[in-house]
Amino acid sequence: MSQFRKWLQERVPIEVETLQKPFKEELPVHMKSWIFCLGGTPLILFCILAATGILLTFYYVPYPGQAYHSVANITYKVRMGWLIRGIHRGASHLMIIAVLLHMIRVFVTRAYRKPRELNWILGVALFLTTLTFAFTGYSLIYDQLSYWATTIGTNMIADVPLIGKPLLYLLRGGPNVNPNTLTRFYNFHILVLPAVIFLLIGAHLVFIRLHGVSKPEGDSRKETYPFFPDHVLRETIIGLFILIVLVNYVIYFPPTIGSPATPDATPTHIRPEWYFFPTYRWLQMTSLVVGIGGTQLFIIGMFLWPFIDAGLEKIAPNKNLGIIIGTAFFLLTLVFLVWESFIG
Amino acid sequence: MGTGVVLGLCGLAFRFAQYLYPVVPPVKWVQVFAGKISDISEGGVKMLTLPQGTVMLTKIGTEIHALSAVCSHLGCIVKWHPDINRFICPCHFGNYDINGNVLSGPPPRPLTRLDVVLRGDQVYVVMEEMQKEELA
Repeated sequence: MSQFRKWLQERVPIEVETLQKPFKEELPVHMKSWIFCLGGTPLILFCILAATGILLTFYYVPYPGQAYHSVANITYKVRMGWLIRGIHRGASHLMIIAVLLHMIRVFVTRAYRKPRELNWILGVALFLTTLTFAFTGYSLIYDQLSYWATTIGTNMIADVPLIGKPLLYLLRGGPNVNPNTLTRFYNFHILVLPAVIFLLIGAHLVFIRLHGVSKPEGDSRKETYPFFPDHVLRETIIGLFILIVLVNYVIYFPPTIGSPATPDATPTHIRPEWYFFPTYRWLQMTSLVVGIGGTQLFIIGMFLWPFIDAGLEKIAPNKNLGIIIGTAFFLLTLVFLVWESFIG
Repeated sequence: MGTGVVLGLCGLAFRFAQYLYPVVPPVKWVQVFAGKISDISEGGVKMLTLPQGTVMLTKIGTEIHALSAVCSHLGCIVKWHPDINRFICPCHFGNYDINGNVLSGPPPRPLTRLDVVLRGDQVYVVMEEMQKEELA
């Protein structure tokens, strides 16, 4: 063994201590609380999504005439195809929930404040990338929901000022949703977005390492505990718990597929997946300009939140205006989500 | 030298973007047979799924009109509801009257009117030629 180690050391001249260093970091004791472990959950889910996604590509055919049938084949014919697709789909939903919960935790504990503003921006970019992943993912199924969601979603881009139309053509590969659109979305889903999210996660982790884990305001405890094995063990428990939940969910609610895409007729009561309900409700309630302009402003507001909050703090110190406004927006989003889920 | 490298890379990136930007052939208009005047009832709407897209023929008095069924909001296909005399979009519930004018909901403009050519009893609608090929 020692001979092999010596052989390897000569070819990979890195000290073992250097490799061990990141794992030896001491974390503040508040990280033992489960709610502060939410940051690692999306990473676990991303790994599950990557593994199941790779498996799905073995059978999926990204062409309109065959995409739907290949998904139906995975769901109903391929051995354990339903399980792989179900876990992939369920993990994508859980990933959105996990990122949202993590963002809420960061928001409530104000961990985005100086000097961590850039990491918040990276976090928002990660959230939007996750949503884009989900959107491009269900566009690939090529059933009615997926076709019309692609049509509506891409048409929304057309109303982005100045670059809307060219961006729409670039995304769709033509003026309308066509075979190129599916190929492009497939490329985005399995190549471009993974590369983007990989870089964003990397940068996010680098910033966490550079600044250290943020401590909640008022927490003066000095005790620490090691990243490895203590924290890694906690994250592993979360990962295993997620897998148990996912597999059970898929067993009791196996994935299905809607009717094939029909560009000539939009089905009645068509709705996007639940995570787009707030936007969907907002678009129903407002004119096109207000609907799309409002959505864009909301996204810009999310990106710039640390600076907006700092500005509010200057205007009215200790009044918690940032928390009040942020909570109001969050509750409004929640109301739209519940409204569309149960009444819409 | 640094500026030259940056400019060169920018030029190359521009060419890459050009590669990704689709070639859009010029729009060609064709007259598509859409049925007979006698098939459309007075004040009624006939919905047609043609290779070039979905259109609605309406007959108001002696005049025949053709409307594109594509909602002006975000592109879904509207449906005619004869009980309330309205076109309703199933996606965001935009409401239009029989002439395609917006009655309520988020659509920013009326439904697109298509030119109609009458040859005796036969109705032809002027539409873009390439749509069906794209929707294959």
